[in-house]
Amino acid sequence: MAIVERPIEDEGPKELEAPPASRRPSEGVFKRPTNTEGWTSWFTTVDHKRIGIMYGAAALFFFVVGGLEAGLIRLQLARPNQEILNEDLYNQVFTMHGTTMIFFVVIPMGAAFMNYLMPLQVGARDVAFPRLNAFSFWTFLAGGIFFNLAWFTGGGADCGWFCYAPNSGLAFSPGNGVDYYALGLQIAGIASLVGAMNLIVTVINLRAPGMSMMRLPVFTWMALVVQMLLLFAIPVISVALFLLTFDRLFDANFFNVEAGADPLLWQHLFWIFGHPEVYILILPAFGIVSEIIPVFSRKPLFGYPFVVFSGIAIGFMGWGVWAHHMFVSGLGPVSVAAFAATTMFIAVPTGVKILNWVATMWGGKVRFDTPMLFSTALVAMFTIGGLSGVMHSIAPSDTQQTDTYFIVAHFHYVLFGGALMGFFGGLYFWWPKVFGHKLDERRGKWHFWTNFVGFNLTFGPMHVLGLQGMPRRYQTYDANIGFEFWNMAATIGVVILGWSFLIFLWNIWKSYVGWKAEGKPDVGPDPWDARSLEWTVQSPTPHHNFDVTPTVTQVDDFWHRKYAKDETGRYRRIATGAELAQPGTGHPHLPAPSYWPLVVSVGLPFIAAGVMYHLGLAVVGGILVVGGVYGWITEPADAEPDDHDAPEDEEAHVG
Amino acid sequence: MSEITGAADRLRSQRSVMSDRTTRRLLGLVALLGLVVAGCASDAPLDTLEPQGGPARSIDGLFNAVWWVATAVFVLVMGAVIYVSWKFRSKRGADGEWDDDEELPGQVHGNTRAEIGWTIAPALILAVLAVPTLAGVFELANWHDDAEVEIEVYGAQWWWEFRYPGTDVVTANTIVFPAGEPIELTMTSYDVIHSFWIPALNGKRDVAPGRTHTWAIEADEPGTYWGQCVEFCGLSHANMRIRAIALPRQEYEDWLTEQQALQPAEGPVADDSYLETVRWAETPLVSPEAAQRGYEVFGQFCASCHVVGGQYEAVAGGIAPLISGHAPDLTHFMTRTGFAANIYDLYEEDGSVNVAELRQWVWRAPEMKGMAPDEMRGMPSFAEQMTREQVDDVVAYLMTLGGEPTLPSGVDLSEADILRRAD
Repeated sequence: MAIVERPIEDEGPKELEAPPASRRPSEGVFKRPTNTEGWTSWFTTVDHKRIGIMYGAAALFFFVVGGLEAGLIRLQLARPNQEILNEDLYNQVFTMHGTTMIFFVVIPMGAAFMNYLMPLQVGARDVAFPRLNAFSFWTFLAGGIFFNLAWFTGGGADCGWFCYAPNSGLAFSPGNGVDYYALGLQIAGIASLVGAMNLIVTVINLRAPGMSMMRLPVFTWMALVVQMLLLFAIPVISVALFLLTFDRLFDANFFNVEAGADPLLWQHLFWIFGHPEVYILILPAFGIVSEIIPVFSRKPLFGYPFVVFSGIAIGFMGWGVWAHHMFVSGLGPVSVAAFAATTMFIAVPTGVKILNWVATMWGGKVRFDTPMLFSTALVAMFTIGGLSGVMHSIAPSDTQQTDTYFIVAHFHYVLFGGALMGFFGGLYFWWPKVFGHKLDERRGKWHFWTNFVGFNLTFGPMHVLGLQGMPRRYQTYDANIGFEFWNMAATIGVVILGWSFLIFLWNIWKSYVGWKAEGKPDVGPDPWDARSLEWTVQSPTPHHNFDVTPTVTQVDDFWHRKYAKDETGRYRRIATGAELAQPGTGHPHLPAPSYWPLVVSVGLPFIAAGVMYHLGLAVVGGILVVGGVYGWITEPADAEPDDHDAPEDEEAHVG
Repeated sequence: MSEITGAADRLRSQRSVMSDRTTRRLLGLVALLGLVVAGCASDAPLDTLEPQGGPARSIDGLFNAVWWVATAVFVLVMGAVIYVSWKFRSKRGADGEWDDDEELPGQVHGNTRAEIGWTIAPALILAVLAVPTLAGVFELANWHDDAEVEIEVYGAQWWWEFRYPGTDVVTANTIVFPAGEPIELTMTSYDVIHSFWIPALNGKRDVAPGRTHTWAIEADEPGTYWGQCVEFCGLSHANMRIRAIALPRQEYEDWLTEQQALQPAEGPVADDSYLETVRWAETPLVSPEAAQRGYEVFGQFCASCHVVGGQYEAVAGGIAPLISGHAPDLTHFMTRTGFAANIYDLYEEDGSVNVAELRQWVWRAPEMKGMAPDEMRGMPSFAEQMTREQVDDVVAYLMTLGGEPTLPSGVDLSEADILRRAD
């Protein structure tokens, strides 16, 4: 069933016509930068692939930061009554850990995959608004750095990632940590919002001929749902963060109970954002494994429409369950009953996906390369997280479990066992497409198994601890109440996880060095015998993606050009990916790099610092933002016209 | 092609068997972990799976139901994942590479009937679970409808206050109530959001400023139970415990009467029986004179926040110079079993007073529990203001406030004090 169809076909693959180069006289003060090589070019790039790589690198950097914070938490809790971190520092560390992992690791890691892959998967040469894309990245990075600057200016936020009012108020958290939290997330929210509009427009408008909605790869579908969720969820948290900022910095009274505020206002705003956020975090990984499992099972995805529509269903139902985070907040039984019911039923579309993935593997010839190992682990581990989630939907039962380690176990099974497992699988899967060589399989398997064992040893015991009554966000616990053993086990698990991540970094390094030593052999466009359009271009992806805009006639179009039915009705290989792939020799017109997205982004943290410390800083930031936007508007639409080949020079290569 | 199996191939397939065995073992470990969770009968006093009262038992019934459903689904899905991973795994060719020219498996695109089936099946299971869930929500919300005893609960950074409507009784951190009947709790907070939770007696309920929440607890038998704050409430969130003491109805009535007695306005009563009660006579500092001196020192340093009924009423109309406006009422201090929100025991197992820590607490509280006195939250250190002698005198005075710790008859301190803070 197609939602949007385009007239296609019969005239064969179409060349993308380059627009006539702009002859509009430049009003801008600066020429657009032209270099696309060398390290300086990364600051001005508008190439969705480079931006995707930077998103991924930044997410891994923040993963190290958040991981070290996690290590400190586990160190403090390894044994009872320790004082490695005092109460104050501990509260900061777990707040920064949670906030970093959610906003600066999982969201941008999803953004990394979406940026890199979505244009390729829909057959486009870039996103719809390349400069806005660069702006999104730099703004996200500015937000992440600004948020973490709190560590160096008097301490991080100490209110928990959910930062409930009135504990987040000035009276109860007089330092600047909460201001860094509110303003840092505000900046990151701008990045997500701009990115959402950009990617939605890209999917809707830049699909290649024949790429109807119901032919989109599932990853792109899930990415679209995620961007829709972001588009509507981010404004809610933005409002909440503004209220908080105004309360703290400008003496407003939104959350001042003495002035008549209801502290539940924050909770509603936070969770109306916060629950869709959960799906924002997990759906990209669902999309990734929906790509990986068919490739490695050598079968099409079982029930493509079901997987797509269940993703859409999650996207809608995700808005109707937020108050299950508030079952003990004092909502009253009618609200609790209603949200318990909606929460139970959101498990259905999620369960459908799990079973469809298992059915995809069923009857296949499953190749357990590292990406597939991670994907299978996601299916299994997410199931555990999903089941504990269903247990929480039993609202009376949740009154025992909420705010205990059972919840901590639950969401780590969802976010680590789900999202991060999927991301790791995706990194191994698309690494050759991005960098031109595979990551080493043997080290990859070491990475996987240590990760799998460490993960379960860390978070499995937290189920027990939670049921034994150990609350979350406790700096310490006493010796003789049954918490020692599993806490120690969890801490050992984190040590294994730490090693596992080092193996991953080692693998990245050694794989590159080994590849370079062999003279950088070509991994080929299609090293996994895969199914979607990104595998029809050379590895690493040429700067311009496609020499010729591909034409699509069905789901998994590329795979169907490699395999066809023989006289017995069985599929036989008729071509290899390498034979079909575009040679990557074209020189189509591409958007020129630009300085301005970076300039505008750099202005934002100055404004944020200005409202906290001295308005002079805000003026500096304002000048950067306004000046940057002005430069952005007035800069020439292109680099100098001869910087790219004229369209007639372009060779058409038909795969 | 699959018939060709060279020696190397066999070796490889063996290796792949090994790695699959590892897979299974690991998944088995996860399943085992689940069983551990299921059967975690421990001596954990905060265990959520050992209900000792009606509401908690009702919750436990629901938990068990969903637990077994979840376990069944877990076994089915894990079984399926392991089965397909094993049964449908592919093997590398003799060259160690996948054979890209192998025959493809059947290209099944889906099965609408199966998919509708596994959409409806979980929906039905959940619909069945929803019935007792919704009933349970209302049952718990109305549990206190017939309660005869009402207790007001106040959360504060970082301690609990309990008031008994209709009397002047105010206690801190120790909630005493009759066993065998529902107790209605009317809860609010003096500052930020806290959450009141005694796992054996009911689930938790947030205690929020500006709002009044009602909740119930019920204990089948007289005994002592532990609770704690479970909504993150700042610095000392981990140090905010509730001792719940369920008494037989008559003992409860007696307790309530005792607690209404005020301390004598003329100063502490510290006669010989007092010395006997405190049982640390080896310390020469304890004497009626010391208690009298301590009474003066208390007035100088402590009474600006703490109330001692009959002797020190709160300053400024009951408002302490703290953000919460309140500090623990100490009128019957010695009838409690712990101090510092039950982080420290007030008595040793043999019944003697835990003088060492109490003295330290009076002197340098922020070193024993996270406090933010500069921000008017929590108890300050008196290390600069009080001499050691004055501290000892205050401790001697505190020991005149009330008598023996409140416990149900037949329960002694050694079995009651299970949350001792070990060094």
